Amino acid sequence: MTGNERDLEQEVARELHRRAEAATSVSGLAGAAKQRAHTIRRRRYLAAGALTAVALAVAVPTALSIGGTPRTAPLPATTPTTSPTAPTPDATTPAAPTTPPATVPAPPPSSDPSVPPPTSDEPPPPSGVGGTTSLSLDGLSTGPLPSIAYVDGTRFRPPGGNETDLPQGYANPVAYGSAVYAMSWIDDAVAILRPGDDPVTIPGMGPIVSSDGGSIGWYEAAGTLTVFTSPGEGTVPLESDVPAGQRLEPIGFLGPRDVISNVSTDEELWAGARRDTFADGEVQGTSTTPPWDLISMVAVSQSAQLVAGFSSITDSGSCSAVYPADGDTPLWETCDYSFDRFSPDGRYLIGGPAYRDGIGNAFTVVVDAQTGDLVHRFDAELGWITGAAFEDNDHLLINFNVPGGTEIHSALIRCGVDGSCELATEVATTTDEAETSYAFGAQP
Amino acid sequence: MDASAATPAAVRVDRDIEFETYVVDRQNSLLRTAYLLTGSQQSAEDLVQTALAKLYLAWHRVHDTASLDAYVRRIMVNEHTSWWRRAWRRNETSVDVLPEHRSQLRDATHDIGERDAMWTLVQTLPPRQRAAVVLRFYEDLSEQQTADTLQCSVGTVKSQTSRAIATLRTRLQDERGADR
Repeated sequence: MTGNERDLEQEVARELHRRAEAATSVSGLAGAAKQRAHTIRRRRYLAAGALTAVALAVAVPTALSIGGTPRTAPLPATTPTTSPTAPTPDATTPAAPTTPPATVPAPPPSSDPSVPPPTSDEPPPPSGVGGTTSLSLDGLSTGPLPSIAYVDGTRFRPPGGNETDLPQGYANPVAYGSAVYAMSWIDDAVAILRPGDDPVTIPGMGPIVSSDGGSIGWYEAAGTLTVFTSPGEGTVPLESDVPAGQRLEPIGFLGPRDVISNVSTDEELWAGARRDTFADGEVQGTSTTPPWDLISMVAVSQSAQLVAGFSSITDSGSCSAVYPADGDTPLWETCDYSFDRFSPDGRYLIGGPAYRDGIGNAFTVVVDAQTGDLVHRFDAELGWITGAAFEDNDHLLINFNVPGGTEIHSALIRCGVDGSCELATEVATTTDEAETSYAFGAQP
Repeated sequence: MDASAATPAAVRVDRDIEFETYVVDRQNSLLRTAYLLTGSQQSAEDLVQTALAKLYLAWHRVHDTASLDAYVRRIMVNEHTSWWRRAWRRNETSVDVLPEHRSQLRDATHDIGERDAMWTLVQTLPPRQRAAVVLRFYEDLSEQQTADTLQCSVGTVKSQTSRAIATLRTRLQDERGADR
């Protein structure tokens, strides 16, 4: 370090210490924090009595057939959906029912005098039929490893083999041709890893991949949306210009040469959506503004030609809607959930709470993509969910985490849309709440 | 923080007393760090409140008093730098270009103006670089402690910090050159 660098660091330190004095103390912070904790807890442990769903009685299966009907043993309706050995309840949080009957019970009343009574700030219960499964790592049988790309620690495991160790801070990896593409959040760049070479980073955001895996795309901060429709050597990239002052967050492919992105500017975090299409034989794309009244896109379905996104976002929640790709009237809208991705055939949507706190979700839902009706809900109970992805049209993988003393136990759980579940990975253990033992690769 | 007390009610009372004692002891320090991360009193209070709320919920898991600060600090940084959290804050000001009206912050005194410029430029750093700068130069954490908080390697802390310093140096030089 040079003397000048040291001087500047000292200057920065002095200024930070001086500026920090501008922060003024506040009173009542402990009480306000406990109030907020109560709200967070309510969102995480959404009152069972608010649900109109009837718990489906599904046995812990001995195996699930991927792509087919789950092979579950039929059970009488009173069989619980939780594992036979329930986790030890936390003495400092309300006890969750360990053997629920077929109808979902009302929540136990709070007897904690320091916690104010629940407010009516929770969204109304969803209508429509659906079931609920309480997730647990105990008592589940073990099925095959995931058949979609996932990350185990720092090891990227794509379905075709060719595992790769990922550098720190890389997310959403996808194997494309002989390389692995990923988002490096540390470098704010798309990273390309080729065997034997140092990673190449391109400032920007991505990657996204088409449903057949044939096309890959990303935004380059230099001012282009770039798409490759073939991983072959010498393939000419398709490019669409992005004006100065705009930044794109590519969301997905509506077709092999049809990309949907979120737009942001220096003035506006959510500046709408953008659709880039590349005519056959053309390498220069054309951008248009889609007709959907959404402030931020979250998912597209190439097979069903649907798009999902936020219609509104507030400090306390959000509303989401699904549109047909070429229509300006939503199929439906909800403020009960927010969403992540469509199933491969576009029939279902995976989602979670309408307010996400950045640590994990208290539940995952599967809804009908055409109607918004709840298909099934998976509750984290005493744990939390850090992601979910469809493995095929009828099964999803849920990244589930449970605290155990000073440790956190995590696994990918494979569940059918009917609620039957099994382990898809080993249960990994970490002592760092912020670490994620497992993660998903980029999904179309 | 021993959760093996006789009754759940007694456990809750113990937890509340311990939690409130911690908040009274540490709230000013946490608010100052949050202020440096966010740049505004209101956002700082919101950030600290959320972090303390999550600490309260996880109280039974945090067994070591010495690690409470580290735990809260990590929650604050995560909350501040996560894309989701940033989505709730429509007044996000951390961009990779200089704000247009920074001259409004300047005092007539050259030194004070220079300090204003420094603070303004710190606020334009990307969230993770800004967090690295605050943790290293205000909290005075070691590179390893900073890496633990940011959940990255020591090497990444070094590169994030050096990139932030380089950016600040370049922009300060531009500022000072523009003043002449």
